[in-house]
Amino acid sequence: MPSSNPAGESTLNFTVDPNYSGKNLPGWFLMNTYLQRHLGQVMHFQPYDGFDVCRAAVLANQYDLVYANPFDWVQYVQKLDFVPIAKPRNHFDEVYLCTSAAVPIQDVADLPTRIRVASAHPATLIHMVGLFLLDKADIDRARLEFVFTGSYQGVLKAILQGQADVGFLFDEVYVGASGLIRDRLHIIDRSDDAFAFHAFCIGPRLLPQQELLTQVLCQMDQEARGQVLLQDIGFSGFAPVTDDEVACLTMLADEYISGHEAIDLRATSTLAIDDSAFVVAREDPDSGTK
Amino acid sequence: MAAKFMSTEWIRLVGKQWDTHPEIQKDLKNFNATWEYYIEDRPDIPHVMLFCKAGKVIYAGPSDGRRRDFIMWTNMDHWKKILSGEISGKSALMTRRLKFKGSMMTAMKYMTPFNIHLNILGEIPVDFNI
Repeated sequence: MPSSNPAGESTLNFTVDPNYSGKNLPGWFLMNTYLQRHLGQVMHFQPYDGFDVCRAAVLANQYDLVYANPFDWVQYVQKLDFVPIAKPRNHFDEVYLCTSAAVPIQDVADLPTRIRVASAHPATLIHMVGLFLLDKADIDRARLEFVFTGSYQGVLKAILQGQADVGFLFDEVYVGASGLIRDRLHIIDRSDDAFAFHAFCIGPRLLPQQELLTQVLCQMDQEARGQVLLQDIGFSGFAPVTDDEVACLTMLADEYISGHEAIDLRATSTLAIDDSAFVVAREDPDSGTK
Repeated sequence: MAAKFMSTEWIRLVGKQWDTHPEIQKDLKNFNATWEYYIEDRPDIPHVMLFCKAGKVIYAGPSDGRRRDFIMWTNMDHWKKILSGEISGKSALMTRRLKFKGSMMTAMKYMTPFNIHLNILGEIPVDFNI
């Protein structure tokens, strides 16, 4: 729950998606200080190592500000009336399919019959898009055995230690990894959807300062201190989130989380697939499309 | 002469144009679905639809009452911008300038062919005076 310090001042609580608990964590502590100064309120920053524990803490109403992955922030909007206010500018969540550079897998086609897939968590956009990449490569899902690691650092470890043949890696984690680590990885495919994004979300206690906080975040790149901080946490700037974007990603997350996966319309189409029917249905069979 | 927008002639031309894009047929080789288009602010114009089976358009014509997997609609002004390429497919979807009913996951999974499909709509010389 939101806490008070000994002087009786209310303290705001801030956390970030667990994939930021790695390399750029010091930058997020400085981000906390930066926001605290601009809001004029004491803020406490608490990082987490795993998705489940972080999500549970936020859903237990312990936080006022969260920088969350898309499927989590949709939940916070729906369950806690959080409001997504800012997202990385010109930057979206993408997935890399990575293997160890030490194994002779250069392409999706080189994957073994039984494929051990390292993924941070099944309820993430990264997992969903990773599955899409394998679907597009005609990899039968029956071939997949998942190793859920709870974090992207765990995915890296599973790939590098040979516990997985391939991993679903959040692009920012790959880019933020050291050159030594990247040299030990091989990217066999990547998404380029530019569709979903992490976002800063505020809880009810911060709603009166929504406009101020949105402005502070979206104008960070216009002052020297903000520019340095943005560099530390790996972004060029932040932009406001629109209601339409929230609605669109909510549709997507609801569909995925509810388990209604229309992955292959061969199985899910409501239509009978009978060629003869379509010859009749076609308006002009002779000149029509084939 | 350009076909009237959202007419049977126009949607058939869209279906034929589809055949000239092998990349979309390849991307949609496992995809079977129907989808319908209409103009939000022109309720007098009948809806049209496409049926794609294994990447090929096998029906292009008036919406004939069969169940649709997807429905896409917006007002005439936004249709013009989408067909001219002024608004990309993804942007139209994300900003809901192109209204969409159906599986958002499927739309995201097939975002590249979705964009190609909107480009195909824009490749047909069209008359918006309807």
